Amino acid sequence: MRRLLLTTLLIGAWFFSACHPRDAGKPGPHDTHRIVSMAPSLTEALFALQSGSQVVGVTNYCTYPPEALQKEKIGDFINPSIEKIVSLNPTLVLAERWSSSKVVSRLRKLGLNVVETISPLSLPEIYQQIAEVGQATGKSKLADSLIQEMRKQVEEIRRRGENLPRRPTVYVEIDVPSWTVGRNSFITDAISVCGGNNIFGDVARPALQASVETILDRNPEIILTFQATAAEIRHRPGWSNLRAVRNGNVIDDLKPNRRFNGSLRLVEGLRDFQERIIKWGSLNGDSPQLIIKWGLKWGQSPKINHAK
Amino acid sequence: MPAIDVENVSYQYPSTGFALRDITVQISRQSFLALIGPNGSGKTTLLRLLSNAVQPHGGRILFDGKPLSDVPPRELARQMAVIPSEQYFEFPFRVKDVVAMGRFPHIGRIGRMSAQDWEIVERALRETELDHVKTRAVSELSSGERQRVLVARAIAQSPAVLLLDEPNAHLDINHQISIFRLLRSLHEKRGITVVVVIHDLTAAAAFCKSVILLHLGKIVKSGIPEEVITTDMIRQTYGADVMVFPSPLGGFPQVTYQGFNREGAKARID
Amino acid sequence: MKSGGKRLLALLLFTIALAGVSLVIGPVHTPSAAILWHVRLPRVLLAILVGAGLAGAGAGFQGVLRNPLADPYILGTSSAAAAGVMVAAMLRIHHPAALYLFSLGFALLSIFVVTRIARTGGKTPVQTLVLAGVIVSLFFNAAVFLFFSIFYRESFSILFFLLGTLTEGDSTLITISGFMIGAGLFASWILARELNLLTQGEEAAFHLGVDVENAKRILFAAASVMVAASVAVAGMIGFVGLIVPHMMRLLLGPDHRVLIPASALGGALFLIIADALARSLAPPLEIPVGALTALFGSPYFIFLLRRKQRMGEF
Repeated sequence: MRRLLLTTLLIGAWFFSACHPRDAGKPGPHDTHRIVSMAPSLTEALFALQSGSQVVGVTNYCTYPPEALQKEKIGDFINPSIEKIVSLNPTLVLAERWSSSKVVSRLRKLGLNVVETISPLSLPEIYQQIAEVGQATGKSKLADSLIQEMRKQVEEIRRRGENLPRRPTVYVEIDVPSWTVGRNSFITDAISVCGGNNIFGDVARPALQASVETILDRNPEIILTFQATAAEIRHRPGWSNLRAVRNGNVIDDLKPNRRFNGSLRLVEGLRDFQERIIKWGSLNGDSPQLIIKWGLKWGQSPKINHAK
Repeated sequence: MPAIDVENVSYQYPSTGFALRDITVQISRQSFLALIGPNGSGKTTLLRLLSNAVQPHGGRILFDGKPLSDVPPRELARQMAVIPSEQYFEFPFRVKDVVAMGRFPHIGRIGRMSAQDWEIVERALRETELDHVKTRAVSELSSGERQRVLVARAIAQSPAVLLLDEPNAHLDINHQISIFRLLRSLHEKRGITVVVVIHDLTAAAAFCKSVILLHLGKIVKSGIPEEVITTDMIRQTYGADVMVFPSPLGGFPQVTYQGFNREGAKARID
Repeated sequence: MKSGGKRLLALLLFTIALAGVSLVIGPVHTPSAAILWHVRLPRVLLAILVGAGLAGAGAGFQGVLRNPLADPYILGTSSAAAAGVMVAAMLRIHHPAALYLFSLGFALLSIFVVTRIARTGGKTPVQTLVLAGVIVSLFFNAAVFLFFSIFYRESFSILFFLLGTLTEGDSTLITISGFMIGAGLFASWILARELNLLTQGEEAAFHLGVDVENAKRILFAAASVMVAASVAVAGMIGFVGLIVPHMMRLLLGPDHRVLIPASALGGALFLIIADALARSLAPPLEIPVGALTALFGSPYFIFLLRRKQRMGEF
């Protein structure tokens, strides 16, 4: 009985303290922040903005940069450990704005300083997210220069993409079976920048499960797959006759957790993907001179998966 | 050889204890036997033991000299039919299809109903006065008609032994009489052995050849109705203030009891 | 019986015709040979198999349990089979034999547990049995969602597997499921007369000469095989096993010698239509067919329940 009373008192005390804003909850000077990041792209932005040392907690999926792996794990954004976040005593929690999630409002009720950033659906919104992270951490200047650099490189890629003799049609499979992206995804934007057209760019949603027969009917020239391997794609019944499969243009090594994500590293992913598009073009008879003109270093390009 | 030989049988319920204790009774062919007794006396349990629905916890039951529990269900069903006091019909089978189910033990899983099988079904329908409703769904019938469907289904089994549990519970007096007349005529014409659990002591006395009176899981008395259904026996076992006297119509015992007369005073009987 | 045979034949011809027609229905209006051959034909075949399996199992369950509200979904058999599939996926066993072994094992286990829980004093009253089914269903659903929340990073296709879809195109799986469902239907049909007698109640069936325990074992096993085979290829498609046998009973009567094949054909018909809708309602989106059947099935279940209440039978 006494123990029960004690426990009740302890919980009560914790609840009381948790319900009221504490000193720790108030935004402090920027360089003494203790930051919890609730998304991989936010973690990457924080490290790029030289705030990595202030990060005290990240999600289970924050694997880049490698230093992020050393940080405390708080679960994932949909179902984080609120206890863990509170125990890290953060002065700033960074999260993407998700209308369906109650996590942020719960954290705020616990007196935490939560800053929500945009959840990017396009390239400009990726820039915006980085800017918002900069603002929240007092690194706006650095953020602006990073964004400017990224924008410059993206525009260069876009110019090259626009000059391609032909734009291939692309099917992106983010998950099995046949989960893909529509117009409201930055991936569609990214493909377009590289010089391709998403075959489901006409669907006004971020993601959709496409009907297989529509995929076969739209007959993409390049398949970009994040989950299934190229071999698995090739062996699907009815898929062997797709142009992408016949010509060996199934790309399975550009994983979103590596370079095809909504962060600064996307530029690398765009470069890689554009190289594949150019190779696709050369396999389809476009002149190698064009490729040289675009100034690509062939020696560094990753291998393309050829159908066997 | 007796049809059913019950030797020192006991049966107990896990919670309420013994329902039957050390029962020994021989039911010979050609008998028309009533099992009577107050509520909880064990008469329905005895009937369930006789039908192999439950197994005794002590003693044994022989059917035609063989242990009853060793007789395969289909073989037993060719010899013995059981008519429950009621049955809920969930699905709308036609009356004649339900009665035709009585032929299952004879034709089996994939055999076909022969013309002779259908003739037996038709006869059972006629005997139970169900001819006019035979193509109706059994779920649409009145409770009295449903009771007769169960009788017809049992007759269609062409059994040698017929066990009934409270067959007249849902019947008006006209159908009560006609069911028992039918049972008696089946007994006379085809030599079917009948064992019936019954609450209506007058009906038991009027239609049955012998009676077993059970009380507290034991047989108190067995014999012809005149010996068993007496004022003393019934008062002793049921604890009811009744009087038994010979029926003016046939001499069999008839039970009556103290009620109220027009002035509200107790009518006197001794 | 004779008119039953004729009506069955009519139903068969109608199902075949509809299967043919459904081949030209889909989001792509002028489908190539590859689409017809590799996408639509397997889907229509799968709709036939899974529809027949689920409705056949439903008819069997309803007969044995004497309850027109019984269905593999409600009794928890589907959830259990799905949990089996999840466990196989979790253990990363991709061999088809393992897939079916796990889903069948879990389905049988659930039936065993459900009948055990519901069994009191040597009898299995229907009310407690359905209640036990709901409980077991909740348990396996919880298990499935537990696996899902731990492993969903692997693939959220599992979510759509749970909702039921006929997009599986693997011919090996379709063949295995086909054989299992065929065998289950055949066994149920052979025992159709016993099923008829079981609808009179277990004790009545016993007194009419049915080896009740044996018949129940075979019928439950046959239904479980059909459910496991359906769930392994198509996930949890609910209410087919509830709606179809009930409609067929209204059309062709309660005799299981007709009802079992009729339910199989009706189930095929029902899923062919549902899947044609699923693939063409919102092109190029794929709608999980299980969501459609549940959308249609739940109100039907309520309608049945209300009707039974009005008739004072519940």
